[in-house]
Amino acid sequence: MQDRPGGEIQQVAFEKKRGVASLSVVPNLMHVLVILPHDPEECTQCQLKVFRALAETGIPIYLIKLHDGYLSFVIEKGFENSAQDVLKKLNSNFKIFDSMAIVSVIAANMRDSFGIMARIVEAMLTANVKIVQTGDSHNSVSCLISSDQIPMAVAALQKEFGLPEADFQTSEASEK
Amino acid sequence: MKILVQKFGGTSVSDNEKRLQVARKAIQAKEDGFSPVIVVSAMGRKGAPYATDTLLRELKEIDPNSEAEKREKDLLMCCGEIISTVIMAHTLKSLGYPAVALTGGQAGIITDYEFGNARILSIDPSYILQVLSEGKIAVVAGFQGVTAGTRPGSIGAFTTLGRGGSDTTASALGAALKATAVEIYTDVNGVMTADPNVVKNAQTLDTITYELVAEMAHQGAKVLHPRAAEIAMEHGIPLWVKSTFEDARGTLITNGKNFPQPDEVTVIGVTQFPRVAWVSLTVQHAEDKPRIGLEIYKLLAQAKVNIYFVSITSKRISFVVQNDLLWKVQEMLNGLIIPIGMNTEQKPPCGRLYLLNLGGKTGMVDAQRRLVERTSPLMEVHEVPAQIVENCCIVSVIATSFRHRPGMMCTVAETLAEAKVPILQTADSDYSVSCLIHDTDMAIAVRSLHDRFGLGG
Repeated sequence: MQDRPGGEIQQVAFEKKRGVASLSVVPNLMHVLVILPHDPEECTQCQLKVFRALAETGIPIYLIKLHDGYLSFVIEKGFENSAQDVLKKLNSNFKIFDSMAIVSVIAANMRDSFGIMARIVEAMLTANVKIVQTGDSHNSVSCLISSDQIPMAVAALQKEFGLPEADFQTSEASEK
Repeated sequence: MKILVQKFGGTSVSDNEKRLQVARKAIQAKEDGFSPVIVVSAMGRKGAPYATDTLLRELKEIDPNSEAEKREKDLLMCCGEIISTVIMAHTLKSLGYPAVALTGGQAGIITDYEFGNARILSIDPSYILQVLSEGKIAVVAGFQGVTAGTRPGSIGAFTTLGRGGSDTTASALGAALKATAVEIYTDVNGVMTADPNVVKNAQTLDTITYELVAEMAHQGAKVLHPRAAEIAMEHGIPLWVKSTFEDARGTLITNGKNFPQPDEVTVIGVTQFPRVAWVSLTVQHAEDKPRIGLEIYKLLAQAKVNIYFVSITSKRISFVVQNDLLWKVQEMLNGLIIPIGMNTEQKPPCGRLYLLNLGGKTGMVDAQRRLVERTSPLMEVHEVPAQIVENCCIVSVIATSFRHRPGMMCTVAETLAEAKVPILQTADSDYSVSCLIHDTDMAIAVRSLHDRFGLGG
């Protein structure tokens, strides 16, 4: 390093510090649970009917999870009436939980990061925030929580990951 | 000076014939008026004399139970790339093109002290710029840097950058040198709509965004490493993925300009992440599930086991791990006792003990249960049985902006149902819809989804 020839040194900062960089919050969501038959074939057919009917009605769904005997997903506020109509038409047994939100922890390179889920769960538990469901992508881990717990969740995650208080974005889910 | 950074992986520099093809790419760039900077990986893959795995095997063979020092492992691993730079530089010189072989440190790459997974802190490009200004081609060892600072014995220590290290070197050098572009050479023509080994009519994408290529990599596609995409995105450097062995245009990775707007959904590709296992634990008392989950996540994180597809229900905790790490998960969790609601002031203490049963060593769970029942008679002991499905695969459809468009999951689920592929679990993000399926269904699932979304051209 000492004998490097050359002119003026132009040092450039590069890779971001690894780990959690920020938080994001999407409020105005609803969590829908649809009871499904236990028979696997009937269950698959029923899932497909629900997906198709919601798609045809133009209702976007996400955080979709399959469970023993039921299906769960998230819809944006404003779609609840049409979702209810669709599910009633299918004679589905369902529940809709309103006032939900997704709080996401944003970090580059999730595949190479260990322990983020453990830290999120610990922070949320300590703050008495109930995680209803989770999801992940290349740069985020998302938690579905009750809207009234957003301030506690954000504060807990900011503290856990050492983020400045202002460092989160709120993207309003579009209300229809 | 128009600088072009070109990165070549281990396969591209594995023998003399291939190195000549690499040299031709660099010479062509020079003839086109660029000052090329070549980043190379160690020559060949597993089994090749100087490949990273081969070098590490030398250490392992001394004593399989003794883990080498990370600092020394890095020193050893760096040799593979250094050998490659010397051979490549000499190849260029033999063709009449002056070239200089540089280690990561000589190229000015300074990292932190995290041996084995170092982060680039800064790059001083002055020596590379001098080499280029003399009309020479700079050949830089990928995947490595050196430490700076004041720690005795660690000044100038060789570090490796971890997964995707050579891609990261290329991207970072591109940014430091304000390169016109960075070209990542591989054995396919660019970023493909699917793995061409699975889908014969997979197409090469003309353009893709940094975000989407990162999601493709996250979901199992063997394309550019997300770290490289992230650096290029931060510094606005266009990245190309091209074939070493063909003259096809390749794929341009860039920002969202000229890409479909967020309210349009364009399906980009289908990926697979094979050889994973699905672990699902049943907890009797729903209120205790978060604490049990937390203990499990913490232990897995300590053991550096990544988990995906984490799903929560009132009584279940489920996640996916790589098949080859399942033994580690079982060894760590089977027979584990998690105390909840302990009252230690009472003698003997009372509360609930959860005993995890992941079906590992025979008798472990029974032995633990007997021990607990004898030593803590007032504790309630609840078994947490696990259902483990090995040999699964995550198949993902990658697209722009899923979340605001209805019907994506419907199309995916219908396609897989028509192909008689059972879905074990699903997950979704802004850029992907993923399904966990059995490994044996992988090919038909990927092909069916590829056809359904019209990706075959």
